[in-house]
Amino acid sequence: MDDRPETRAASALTVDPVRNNVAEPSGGGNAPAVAGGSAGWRLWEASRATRRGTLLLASLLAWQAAAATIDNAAFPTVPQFAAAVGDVVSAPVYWVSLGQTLVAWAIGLCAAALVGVPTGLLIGLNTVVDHATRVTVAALQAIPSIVLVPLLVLIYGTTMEMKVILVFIAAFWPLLMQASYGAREVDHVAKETARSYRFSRVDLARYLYLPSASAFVATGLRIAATIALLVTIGAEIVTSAPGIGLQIQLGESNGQPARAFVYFVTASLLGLLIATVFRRIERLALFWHPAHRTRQGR
Amino acid sequence: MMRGISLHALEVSVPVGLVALWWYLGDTALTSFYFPALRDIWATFRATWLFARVGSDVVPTMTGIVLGYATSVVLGVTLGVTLGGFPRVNEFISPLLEFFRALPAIAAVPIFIVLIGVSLKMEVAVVTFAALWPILLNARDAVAGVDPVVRDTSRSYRIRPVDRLLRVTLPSASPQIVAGMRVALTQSIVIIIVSELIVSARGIGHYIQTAQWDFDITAMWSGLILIGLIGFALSKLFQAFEYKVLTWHRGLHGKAQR
Amino acid sequence: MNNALGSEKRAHLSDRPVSPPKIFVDGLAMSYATSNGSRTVLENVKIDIQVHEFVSIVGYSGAGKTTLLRCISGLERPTAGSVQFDGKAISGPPEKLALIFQDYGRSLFPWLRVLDNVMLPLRANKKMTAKQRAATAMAALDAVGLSEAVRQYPWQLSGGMQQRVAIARGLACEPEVLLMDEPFASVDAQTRSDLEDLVLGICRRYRMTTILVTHDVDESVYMSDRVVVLGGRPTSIAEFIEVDLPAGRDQVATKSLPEFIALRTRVLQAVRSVRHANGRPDRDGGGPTTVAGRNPDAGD
Repeated sequence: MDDRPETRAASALTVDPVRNNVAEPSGGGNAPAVAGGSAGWRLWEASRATRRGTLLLASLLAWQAAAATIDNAAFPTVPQFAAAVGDVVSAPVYWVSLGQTLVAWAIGLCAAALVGVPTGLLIGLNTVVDHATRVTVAALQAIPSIVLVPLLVLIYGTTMEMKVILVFIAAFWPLLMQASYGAREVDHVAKETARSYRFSRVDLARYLYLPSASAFVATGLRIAATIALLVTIGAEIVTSAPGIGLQIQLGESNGQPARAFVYFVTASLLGLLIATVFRRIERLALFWHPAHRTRQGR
Repeated sequence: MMRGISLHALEVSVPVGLVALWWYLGDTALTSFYFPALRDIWATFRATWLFARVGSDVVPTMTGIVLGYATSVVLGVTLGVTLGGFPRVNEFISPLLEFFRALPAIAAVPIFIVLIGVSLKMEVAVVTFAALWPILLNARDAVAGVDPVVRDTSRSYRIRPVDRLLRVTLPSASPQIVAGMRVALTQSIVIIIVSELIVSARGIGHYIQTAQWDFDITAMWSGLILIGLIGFALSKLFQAFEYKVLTWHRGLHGKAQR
Repeated sequence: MNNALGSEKRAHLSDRPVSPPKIFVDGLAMSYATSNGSRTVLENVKIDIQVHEFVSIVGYSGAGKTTLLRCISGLERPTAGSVQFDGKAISGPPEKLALIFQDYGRSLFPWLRVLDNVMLPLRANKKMTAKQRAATAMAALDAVGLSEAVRQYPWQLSGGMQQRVAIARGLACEPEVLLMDEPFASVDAQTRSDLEDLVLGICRRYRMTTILVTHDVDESVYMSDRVVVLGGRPTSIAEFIEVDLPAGRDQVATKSLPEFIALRTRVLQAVRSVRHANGRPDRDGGGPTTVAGRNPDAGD
């Protein structure tokens, strides 16, 4: 069963006031009660900040241990990394690269939303259009967009244009699919209720379809935003187009692994930031639609 | 019923029609350099992939995908299920896992290349690294979020630990694990192609990259279409697997939807 | 008192020497830590249940019947007091005890067929071969009248049938004590009466000691030898009510007996009086701490 605890009504026999914890969607929120215990357990019981701090410390130690044993040309040690951070971040090229990645990501994503969402809604609302486009969409969607990079490079060169078009193609499909689900998955009972109250077309759109669709579109945006970042950076790596990806590639191939790692960590933090922000937006759009979560899983 | 039949007919006829249109347009002069005639693409496709370069390119790519995916499934399920069973450890490690999940695995490819060198081992490693997270995190969430009624029933009937794992926990987690496996499959394909595009001596990605350098458009298109077909075939295979494994899940929720 | 239904009243309980109770709930108390300090749900609950006895536990929603049953079943450990099974305090789910959950849809495993569901707990029994396990499971399913549904999945069956599978699963373990948590709450009224008779028959036939938690007053009187009324804040025993009805229970005949109606009224009054005596939730808990007997607040 893929129900989330928070959307299930627990049976009377299993309601457990202390231990019925709701797991955060990110899966890490359980704080189990421990009856007393040794110093080890006291660590677990310590505040969240202490736990996070300890985790960070442990990760850094593990990193250092790995770097010491692995080839240093690819993997910097922690002090090397720390030293590089200051150098890299203070140089303008860092911020320029960041901008180059983000601009392509943003423009491509917006364009994909503007085109993909209405198209998806149309597909979801109209059975004929849905069936007509079904196979084509499935086939086109199966092609990983990154594979189009060589073709796009031939046509557009290693430019911002090329990246934007790539991001557009990559982000288009999840937005289209989600919008079509949103239009299609309006609750039957709600639809019948609206119809029996003789809602006008405008009201139907406003009170029935739009909220439902917006919940799914919010999920689609989150998925598309993550894919878009992946694809932008991927394109930069593969084609050496300017951006974060290029800097990672340069750092590694020029024997400056610490530099590459700074950009790599930047890419990761960027990914984390985007995921968090869009998940927030998704939750806002979803607050009234608990069933949606169980359908989507992650 | 007639409506159903005509809808299905529509489903099939539109893509067929589009392909026919592309073919027809190719035969007229309406082609550009970058969008060559379908007839030419087909000629190249047949010459290359049926079956001349299967051994030299398709096999290495597929090997990388299969090995990397299999490793990620085994590792992801094992680690995820274990982690789900130890909530304290899970809560401690969770931020680190979230970090790894959010990072664009593609960005790690250059690092892996220098780290391990150009080889099958590198490809498998990088695919595993990319495909691991959806499976691991979904497995963990599924096990941690096991229905309290299921847990109480297992305890109350004193079900043996091995039975609890194999006959209760894993099946109950399987819908979510399978969902993670599906995402991981797409990831595997993408990562392999990307790593082959960057640096490789063989593989479909490498073939496409070479075609780009040679300005061989029909070759590039044939490679693209091949990847699309492979992706499609793999996802159909996965669908069949999912169908078999999750019969009970479909039945359960099909009934609930009434 | 003689009547058409036979003069044996609880014959299975009479003429026996007083023996140690099968289940002894000894001064059980249960408190939870909440954000506002600790909250006591159950206090000083003392019940002794004789072997072969059928006891119903009733009380209004939220009274703590479920918590009490969880403690008796060993799923939870009380904060004070103990539960004794055959004279020994339990520290977890005891072996000769089977618990039937209210939510059969989630308690039965949807990925296993009916027979496999019933057989699963038997796998812990190393002394049985696979064949013996299957035979035991089949016999249990037969006892509940579901031998045809063996190859099906639980979700393919109706609610009543699913609960019967759950009962069969409990039966297959050959328990001495059967615990049931509002087992018929999620089932329609017609099916409920069939299931009540089925359970009664099974408990008699296999000579089990039974504890039934229910909110249905009629059911509690119909099925049991004794009714325990919970109530108060924090919850404890409000009243024990002996059910002095003929042992042969019949849905129509028994329920039209004046004794039945009187008993049922008494139970209902007991439940309601405890509920109305509670007033608003507050810090000092209200409600008397009684071992057994009347609730003074009920005006008794």
